Amino acid sequence: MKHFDALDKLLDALPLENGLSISFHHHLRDGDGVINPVLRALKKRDIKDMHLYVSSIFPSYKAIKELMESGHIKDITTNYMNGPVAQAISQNGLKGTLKMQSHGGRARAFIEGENKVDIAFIAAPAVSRQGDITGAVGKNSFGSIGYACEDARHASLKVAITDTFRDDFTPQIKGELVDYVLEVDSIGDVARMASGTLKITKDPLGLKIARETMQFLTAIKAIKQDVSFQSGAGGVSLSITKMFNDYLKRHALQASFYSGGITGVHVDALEKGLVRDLYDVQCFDRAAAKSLFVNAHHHFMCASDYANPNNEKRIIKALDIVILGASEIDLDFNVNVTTDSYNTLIGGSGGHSDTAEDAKLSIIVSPLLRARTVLIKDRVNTITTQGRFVDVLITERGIAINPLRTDLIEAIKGSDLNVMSIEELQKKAYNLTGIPKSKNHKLSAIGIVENRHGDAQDTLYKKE
Amino acid sequence: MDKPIMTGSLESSDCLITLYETDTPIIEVDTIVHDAFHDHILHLIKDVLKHYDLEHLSVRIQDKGALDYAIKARLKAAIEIYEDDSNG
Amino acid sequence: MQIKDVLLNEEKKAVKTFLNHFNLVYEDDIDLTLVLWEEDTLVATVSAAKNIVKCVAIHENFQGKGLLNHLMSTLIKRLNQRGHTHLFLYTQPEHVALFEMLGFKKIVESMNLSFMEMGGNIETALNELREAHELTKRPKGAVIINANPLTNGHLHLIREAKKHHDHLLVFVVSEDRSFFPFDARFKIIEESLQDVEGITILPTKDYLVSYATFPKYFLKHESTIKKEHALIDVLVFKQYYMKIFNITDRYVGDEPYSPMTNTYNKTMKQYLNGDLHIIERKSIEDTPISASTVRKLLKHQSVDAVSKYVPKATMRFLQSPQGEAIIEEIRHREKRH
Repeated sequence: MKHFDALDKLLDALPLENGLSISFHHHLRDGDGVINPVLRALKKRDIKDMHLYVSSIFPSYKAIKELMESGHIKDITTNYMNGPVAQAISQNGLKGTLKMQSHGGRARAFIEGENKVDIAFIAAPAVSRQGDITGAVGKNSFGSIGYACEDARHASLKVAITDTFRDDFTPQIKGELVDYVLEVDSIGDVARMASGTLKITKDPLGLKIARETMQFLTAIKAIKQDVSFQSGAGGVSLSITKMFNDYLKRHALQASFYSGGITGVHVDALEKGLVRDLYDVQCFDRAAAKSLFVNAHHHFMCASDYANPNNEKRIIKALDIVILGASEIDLDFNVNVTTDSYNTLIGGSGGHSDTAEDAKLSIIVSPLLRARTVLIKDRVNTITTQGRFVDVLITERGIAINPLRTDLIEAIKGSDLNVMSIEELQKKAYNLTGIPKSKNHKLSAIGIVENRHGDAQDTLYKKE
Repeated sequence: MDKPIMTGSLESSDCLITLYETDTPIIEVDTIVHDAFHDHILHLIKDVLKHYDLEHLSVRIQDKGALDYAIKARLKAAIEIYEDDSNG
Repeated sequence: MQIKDVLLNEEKKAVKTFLNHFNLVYEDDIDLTLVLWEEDTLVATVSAAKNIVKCVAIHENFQGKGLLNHLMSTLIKRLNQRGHTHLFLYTQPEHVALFEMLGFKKIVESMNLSFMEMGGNIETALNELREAHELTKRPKGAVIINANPLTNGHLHLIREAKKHHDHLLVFVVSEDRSFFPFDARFKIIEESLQDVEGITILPTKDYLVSYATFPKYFLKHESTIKKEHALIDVLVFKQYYMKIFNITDRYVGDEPYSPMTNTYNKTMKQYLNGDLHIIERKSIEDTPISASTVRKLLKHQSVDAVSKYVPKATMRFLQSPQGEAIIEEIRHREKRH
């Protein structure tokens, strides 16, 4: 293992050539200080037609846009994106192709050799003398480094980039995998890792949806001793997690585990004994990052152990309930969280399609109306998650159950839940907004959505 | 009317209406749901103006996804201010 | 949450400190500032100088909740009360989407700056102007002058330009920030050119603004500000005026002693290339004739001292009661243009 103290010296030592494929993780989110400088240095060396594998793209990753425009980045494979880079891709496409994977699908594709990476650049909060890596300590400790594990195992060359050297930690990534260590002043600003949306919602509409969700879960008697549960970091999801915690407490129950992206609300449940274990692939805030270091039952996991469909021991195989969002849903329950209705990229699967497919119960929570736009389309613009894996839709104006889940339809019989068919729910929305005029789109393809098993599931188009 | 009359706001699910006088009346519809509802909103505004016999007035609407009730209410409020001004 | 006007000095200080976090400077010409307070926290602020919206900022923890829409709606209605229905805004390109959400439309954009408007549309305004003057589709030359006041130097530039074109457009800067008001400037030009065939005199409308109005609050260096101002002006001219009026050539006077005009002309040359012609400034006894020379003479000498530099119509105006009042003002104010 070789040490370098300057990015340029490291790059001098690396085999750089046109068509290079490189990878990064997104754990620091908007606080990342590695992606931009590395990409700009590669641009300066005029390495053309690169293939960028980055687990997610956040608004501050502006160098990606610069290198796309200058022809240095040709292809991008990622799981999620928003902000200026997403807008630029939606507008102009790439020189090559955009591939949107899921978190589990990305891990699988690394292991099975479909994602072929020459050099993995891994922002590492702490590195030991042996090259061991952890995200749990260091001045920019972001907690779990789960999305860099497969990069570290399968890229041809692995570079750990760090601002902290320590030897007193349990490695998340083993030093034997690391080829080079680059010491920098700072790998970013961990204070900016949590986005502003990480707050329990105060919006009455969001709270209503959260309460309806709890009523639904209670009606079907889903919240039992040893239940396992996952929800995201959106405002409504967080409220549901909070209400879920309160329910466990009131009924003296303990959940077996919470999984996925972890926040302070999840940690709170662990510390109060409401859940036995947290399985953490990424920390959404610093409270989670701290807990991972302190709490013995807060476990780090790699993306493959979280959601790789070909890993029999994946955590979400045992998941009972998952709460997910939607930008669009259609009459077949297909969900879109990748684009808006005008083809602009606004997100991506992340763990959406992985957990929907694996969990015993997948619930979509979303407002039925966002201003005058109705959530339920005849057909979603992009299929992120297939309808056959989506069980229930809960909105502020009613609940729709996937007709495939006859057991659930049976279970809510006799309850006073406001359940109707998804067609009826759509009609209810149209009664308020009027029926939208549909427009014929001129389409030009810019990439694909790949499902977690590696099959092309949908096509991505340029923005009109 | 010496100044255009403005009602409503640019907040989500609301609209900002500007009612004003010009030599030839125009109705400008700027909406976030352009593809789906532009023509519908244009007709809605024409209908309200016609109802009040005020088709000589111009209207600009900056719509943030307001439902018909909200658009009508904002426009009617502007018209009431206009009529108060004209009578006072 | 409560929207308040900023009136007291200590409130202004709070706004200034808040803007500093965003690397924004509170500009001197602001005449309306609104602030959104949540108890003791300053959540967001918007300002305006006449019809230009400025210094828009929102606290990081309160973003994405539509609060700016709330504040901007109030500002728009307040400006409407003051008679400003056509609003302008300068911002960085990365914030264009945000301001589009707030109802603004982009006019032009450079690398560092976007120029936006609301309550008006540049294409509609210029097309109306074209139709009002019954201008044909034939190719034309153009001169843009402020004429504060009109000098023989301006007339020389116009005559030189006219030599190359059947039809010349003379645009007079509409913005009223000069000693000589727009109506007076326009009238003097009309009188001075009434005998010349094939010239149409037009207002620039609100789209070509003076450096004084151009906001400087988010650009660091003065040289950048000057360049950006010129660039936006040139882009507006090229993308709208040239297209809508079918202008093939633009003529400007050279200005050997003004670094400001030099920057402007240099930027213009870059973007208009062969379509731009720089005409040598007319001199009398080695003194180039410019409006600023004339104003300087008016400040320090008698009215008669300027007679050899300006046409009769300007002289007549200077000797009128309105003209005398303006000369008084020039003598008593240090204001530079």
